[in-house]
Amino acid sequence: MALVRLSQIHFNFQTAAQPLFEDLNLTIAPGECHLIHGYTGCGKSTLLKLLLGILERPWEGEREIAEGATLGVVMQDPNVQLLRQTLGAEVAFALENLGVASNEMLLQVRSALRRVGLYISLDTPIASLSLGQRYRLMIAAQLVLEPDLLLLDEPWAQLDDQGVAELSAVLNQLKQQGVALLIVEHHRGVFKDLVTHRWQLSQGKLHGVAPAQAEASPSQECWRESPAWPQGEAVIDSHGFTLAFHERQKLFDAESLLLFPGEIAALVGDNGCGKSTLLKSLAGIQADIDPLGIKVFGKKPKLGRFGADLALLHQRPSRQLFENTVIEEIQFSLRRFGLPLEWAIELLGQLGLTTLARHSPHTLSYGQQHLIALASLACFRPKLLLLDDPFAGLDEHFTSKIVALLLELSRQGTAIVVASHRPIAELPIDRLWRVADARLECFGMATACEKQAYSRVG
Amino acid sequence: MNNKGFNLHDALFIGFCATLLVALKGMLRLKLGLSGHSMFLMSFFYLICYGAVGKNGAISLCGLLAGMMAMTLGIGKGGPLLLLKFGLPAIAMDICLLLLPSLLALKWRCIILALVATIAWASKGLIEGLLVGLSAQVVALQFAKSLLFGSLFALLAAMLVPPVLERLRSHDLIDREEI
Repeated sequence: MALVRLSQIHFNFQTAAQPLFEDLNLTIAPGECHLIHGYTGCGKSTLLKLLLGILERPWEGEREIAEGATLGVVMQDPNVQLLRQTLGAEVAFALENLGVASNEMLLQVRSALRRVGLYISLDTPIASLSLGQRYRLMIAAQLVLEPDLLLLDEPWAQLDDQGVAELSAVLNQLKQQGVALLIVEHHRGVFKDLVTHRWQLSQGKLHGVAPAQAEASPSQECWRESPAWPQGEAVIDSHGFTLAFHERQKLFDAESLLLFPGEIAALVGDNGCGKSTLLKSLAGIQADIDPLGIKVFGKKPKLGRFGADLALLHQRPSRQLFENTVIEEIQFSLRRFGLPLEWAIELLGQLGLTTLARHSPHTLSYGQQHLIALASLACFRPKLLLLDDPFAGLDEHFTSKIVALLLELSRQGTAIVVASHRPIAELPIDRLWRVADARLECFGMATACEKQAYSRVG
Repeated sequence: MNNKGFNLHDALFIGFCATLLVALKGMLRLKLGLSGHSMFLMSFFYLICYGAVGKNGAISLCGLLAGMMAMTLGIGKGGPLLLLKFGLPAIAMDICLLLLPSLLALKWRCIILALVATIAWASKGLIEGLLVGLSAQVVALQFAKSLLFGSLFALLAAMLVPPVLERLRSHDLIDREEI
C-alpha cells in the first residue's frame, strides 16, 4: 500500500520561464528508500516542501497521503532546524507542543535518542555536538512523532565521512523498522546500501536511474602541475601558531603556513576541527581567539584592514546575501570599490546564471545561493579568496563552472583557500592543509606523494 | 485589493504591525515637542500592513488592535479616546482605498493614504477642541497646524514604505505581484 502518492504534479514559479514540475509522479511505500538526484536549482527542495504540504504557491495535480501517516523532515542546514539549547529540550519540543505529560515525554525522548545512537546526557548543549551528532539529533526530534516517511535534504554535502557513516547506520535501522525514506542528494555514490529506488529529477519529471549509472569515484585530492610557483611575496605567512578560543581547549597546532599569489590551497578536515575558525581568523573577523602568529599581506589580520584585497565566503551563504536581486547583490561590491558594473553581468553569463539576474537571492536554493555569494566575491577579483565549503549543494555542472572560475582567478594572481570536509577531486591544488588529531599539516605535491608512498609501504 | 477573508499569514502581519507600533511608541516615549510626529510611526505601520496584507479592513483592524493595546497598557494620554486616535486614521485609509484606483503606482497610493490618515488624525483634535469649548478660530488654527506638521511626518513615512515592502517581498515574506 502506498504511503505517499504524487500524481501528475504541475508547478512553476511565477517568474520562471519553464515549469519546475511537469507531469511529475512518485509513489512511496513503507520501508522503501528513494534517492533523488538533480542539478542545482532543479526543484529538489521544492519537491520536499510539496510532499510536506508546506508549498505555499499554487500547484496542480494530486497529493495523496495514507490515512494517519506522519511525515518528518531533516533540513539541509541543522542551524536552521535546531531550535533549543540542549539535547533533551530539542527532542521534547514537538511533544511539548502536543501537550504530552512530562513523565511520558521523558521516556519517549530517551527512546528516540537511543534509536539514533545518541547515548549522552539530555542536558548536553547542542553547541557542543558535532555536525554528525546534530543530524542524528534532528532525526531523533522527528522520531518522537513516529513518522512513517522521513525526508532528508542533501545530508552528504554537510557531513564528513564519519558523519555520513553514522547517518547511514541510523537510516538503515529505520528502514528495517518500516520507515520510508526520501533523500535528495547531488552525490551519486552515497547511501548505496540503503537505496531501493533511484531517480533523476530533470525537465520537471522523475526519471529512473540504474545503480550502475549512479556509481561515483571516491574523493581524492588533485594536484596542479604548477608553473614557476611561488611568485612574489607570501599572501599568508606563519612560522607556527596555535588556534584556540580564549580559556578553552585548542582546536589545532600548526608548524607553518604559507600561501603565495596565484596558489590554491585545500583546507581539509572533519566537521568541527576548526576550518571555518581558521578562515575567519585569516579574515580578521573571528572573535574570542588567542592571538595568532599569522600574517596576511604582511599584516596582522583585522576587520576592515584588507578592503578589496580579501574576500571570505561563509559556509552559510544566506548570511552574506542582503540585496533585493541577484544582479544588485553582485554589483554591490563593484559599486563599493569603484569597479565597472558590467563585470557582474559578464560573470553571471560565464556561470550560466543570467536568467537569475532579477531573482531575489533569498528565495534561491542553497546551491544557487552558494553560487551567487561566490560570484559576488569573485567579481571584484580579490588578491586572497577564502572559501568555506563552496561546493556544498552544487551539482557536477556548476562544480566544473566554479572550478574554471577559480582557476582563472588563480591565473590572474588570486591566492585561494578552499575549506571542505573531504578533498575536491575536480579542483587542482598547489597546497594541501589537512587538519587531523588537533594538528594542521601542510603538504605540497612532492610531500603528499612521499607520504602516500610511505603509507602504501607501511 | 480583494476580500477573501484573513488567513494566518495576514493575521500575523496585522498583529505584528499593531504590536510594533504600540511597543515603539511605548518604548521611545518621544517628547520632541513637534506637533504631528506620532503620524510617522502610525502611517508607516498602517501602510506596511496595507502592503503586506492588501485586503479590505486590514488597516482598520490593525488600528483598532493598536488602539485597544495602547488603551490597555496605558500608552499615551486619552483613555478611551486612544481608540479613536489609532482607529480613525486607519478607518479613513480603508475608506479611501475603496475609491483609490489600484493602477496608481504604489508610491503615490502610499502618499495619498498617508495624507488622508493625517486629515482623520487632525480631525480628532478638532472634535476634542470643540468638545472642550474652544473658540472656532483657535480650533481652526490648531487643526491647520496639526495638518501641516502631521502631513510632513506622514509623507516621510510613506516614502519609506515601498523600499521596505520590496525588501519583504525579496525575502518571500509577502507574495503580492503589485508590490
